[in-house]
Amino acid sequence: MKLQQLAVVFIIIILPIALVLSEYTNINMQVLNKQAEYDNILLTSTYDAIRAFQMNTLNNGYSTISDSKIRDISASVNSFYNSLASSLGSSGYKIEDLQGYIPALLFTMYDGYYLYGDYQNIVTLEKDGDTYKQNYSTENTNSLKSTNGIKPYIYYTCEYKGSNKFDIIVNYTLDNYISVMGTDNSGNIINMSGYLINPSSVTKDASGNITAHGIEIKPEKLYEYAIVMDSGIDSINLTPANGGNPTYYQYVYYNHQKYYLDTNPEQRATSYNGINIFRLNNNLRTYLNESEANSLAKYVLNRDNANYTELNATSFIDNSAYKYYNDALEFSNKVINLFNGVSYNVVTDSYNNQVNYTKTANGEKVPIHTRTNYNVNEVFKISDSNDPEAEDSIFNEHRMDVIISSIESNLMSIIANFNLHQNSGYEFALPVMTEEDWYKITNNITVVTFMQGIPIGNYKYYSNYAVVANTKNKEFVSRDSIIIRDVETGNRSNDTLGTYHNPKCKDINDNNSGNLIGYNNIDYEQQTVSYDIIDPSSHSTVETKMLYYYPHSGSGAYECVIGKDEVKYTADNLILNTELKDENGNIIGNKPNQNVRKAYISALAREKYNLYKISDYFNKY
Amino acid sequence: MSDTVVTVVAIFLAAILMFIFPLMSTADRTDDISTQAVDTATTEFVDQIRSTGKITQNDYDNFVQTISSTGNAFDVELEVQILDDNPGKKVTEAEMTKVGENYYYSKYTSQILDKVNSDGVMYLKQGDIVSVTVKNTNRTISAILKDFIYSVTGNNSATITARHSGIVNVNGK
Repeated sequence: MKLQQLAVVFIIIILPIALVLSEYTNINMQVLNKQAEYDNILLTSTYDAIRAFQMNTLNNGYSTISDSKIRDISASVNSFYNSLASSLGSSGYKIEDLQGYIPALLFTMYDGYYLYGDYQNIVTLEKDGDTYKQNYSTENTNSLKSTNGIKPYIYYTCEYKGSNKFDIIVNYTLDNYISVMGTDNSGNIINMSGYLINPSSVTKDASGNITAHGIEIKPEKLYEYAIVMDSGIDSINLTPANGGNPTYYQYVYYNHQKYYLDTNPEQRATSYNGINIFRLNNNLRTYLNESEANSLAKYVLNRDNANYTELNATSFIDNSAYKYYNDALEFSNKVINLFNGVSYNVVTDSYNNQVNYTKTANGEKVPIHTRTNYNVNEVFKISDSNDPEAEDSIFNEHRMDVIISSIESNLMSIIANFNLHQNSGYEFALPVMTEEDWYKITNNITVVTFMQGIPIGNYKYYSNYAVVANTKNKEFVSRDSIIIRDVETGNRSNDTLGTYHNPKCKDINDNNSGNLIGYNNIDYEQQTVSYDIIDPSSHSTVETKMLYYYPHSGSGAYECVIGKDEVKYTADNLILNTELKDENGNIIGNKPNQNVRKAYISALAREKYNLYKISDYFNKY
Repeated sequence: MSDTVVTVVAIFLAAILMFIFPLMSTADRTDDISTQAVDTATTEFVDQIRSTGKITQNDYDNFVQTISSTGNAFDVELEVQILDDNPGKKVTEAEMTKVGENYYYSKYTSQILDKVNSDGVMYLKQGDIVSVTVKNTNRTISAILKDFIYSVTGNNSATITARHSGIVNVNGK
């Protein structure tokens, strides 16, 4: 054969192969692109869900009450679908069209979580003569089509059973707050809740002074800016006090609310009857009556015979940090005694039966989350090496395992059940989640979304999840949510706006000499006050006005609040007063600054103590 | 005789191999790069709107200029879903801005551009949803070459498309 012929034959053979191969690579590239695109869309939508939740809760004074919370979560779910629909390119999509690809949404809260998914458990009204009755029978609920919605709240619980009558259920939270219920060894009923701390890290002397982690916990003077509303002259319209300008108020926490001291008589509203203290009722300034003011005085001054007339700018101080350690000390000793000398086992199924996931690729069984290996009897043996306030304590690891096993088993079943109501031919299953994502879930308020079953070409289906943490919320004060500032520069009248810092900042730890105070990070966020202007004659809304303000003036430090370059210390460094170390454990920096520690520890204790907690009432009976 | 035929075929194949294929592949890559550039520009534009709470003439012009610099003509579709009143408004939470419970109404490209052209800026508020879709309207070299071999007709013949959307995070005013 001649060279030309060889060449032609060669090309005739090679060309189809090359074409097929290039087409194959092309398709695979398209699949990858599609996957990346959907990843992006899912993450954006999840972010939007979180943003909606943040916007709704930050301006809602009742956001921690469960009724309101469910509304906020439904609103967040709607935002997720809205955002998903507009990202997928057709705003005409309805929620129902997208629901077939979203097997579950998970909203983790402070002490439990909500799952959004489909279920059949609906009760309808049945006609019974002239009246309607509810029919709870299984046949009735089974015959119904499934519906999507938020399932009942699930707490992070774990049950421990010992030999005698010892049977204790512990409700965990995202931090060291626990609720303990059940019966002890001799059958006494136990019902208590509180912060579990290491009692040897806190000392209380004869005169009642408390030193925690080497820091003396003292009462604090708290200040913030606020725009408050007054009921107006015509008793219909509300008017903003001080012409709508933010006013600098001193405040204390009492009953999870802020009580403000009003030193300027010019701004008094109709509810004022001689007592200069008010609380906010949905932005409306409500002055206290005498009995409420006296109970506040008893709380603030810590004396039974205290009277509101004793409250002034000097005595109006917040004792929450002190109370946090005082109550926690008492509670922790009780818990330690309860578990002391008892041998027990975990009986919670979801904890014991660790869920396995079959990897379809090679059939190998991989656990979704690898549980930390230790003896569960060590969990409540609190010591310096097992300090519940520290990150790497046995208690904290157990807490995370409990939360994960509960979420894992419930997610598995909700996603598996999703198959019952779908006939897409795709089998929905919980994807393997990384340990980093689990860490995020167990230490933050998060939204986790799952999207599966969308064909992405080449006979493949999309399956992934997105985890987004909500670090700005009223639900939970994490160890990372405290921001510190100079005590004095907070007041704008001093003409120095000041800079606020992250307490983990190396710069402020190395160079600070001033007097510092910490506040929760949401107090540095913009707050909105909205009010309707109503026409008194027709009672119709003429206009809705919005006012905005920041409770704390000043600006974030570039090295630690806006950027993160100088954030070198960890929360453990600050709490336990340990040197800065690198990954290999070599000391690379000094111990944190004691002023910073003092502000951080006090603020963290204060903000934690004043969170609204559902199981708080346990201690009152 | 057969030699001549084979030679002609060989020359023909060689021409396809040496000219058409590299040209097609280069044109394809150009489109890929353009898509990437347009995608980035769209994401930036939308994120700018989301983080500033306004659509300004300047930003829009910059955006159009950036995507035009890929050498193609584009059709830019803007849509803003504006957060309307909340029918489930309750006395305890008289927040008009409850995101996710409210109705939305939409404004589209021509309405938005009218507003932007006359005022220089269109303000949005927290909770509004903005989305931008970009499609090329010209035929790129890659599309022309592909049409030479097999032609694709219909609406979805745009080769460079980008789309981005999200909730506005701040109040513009």
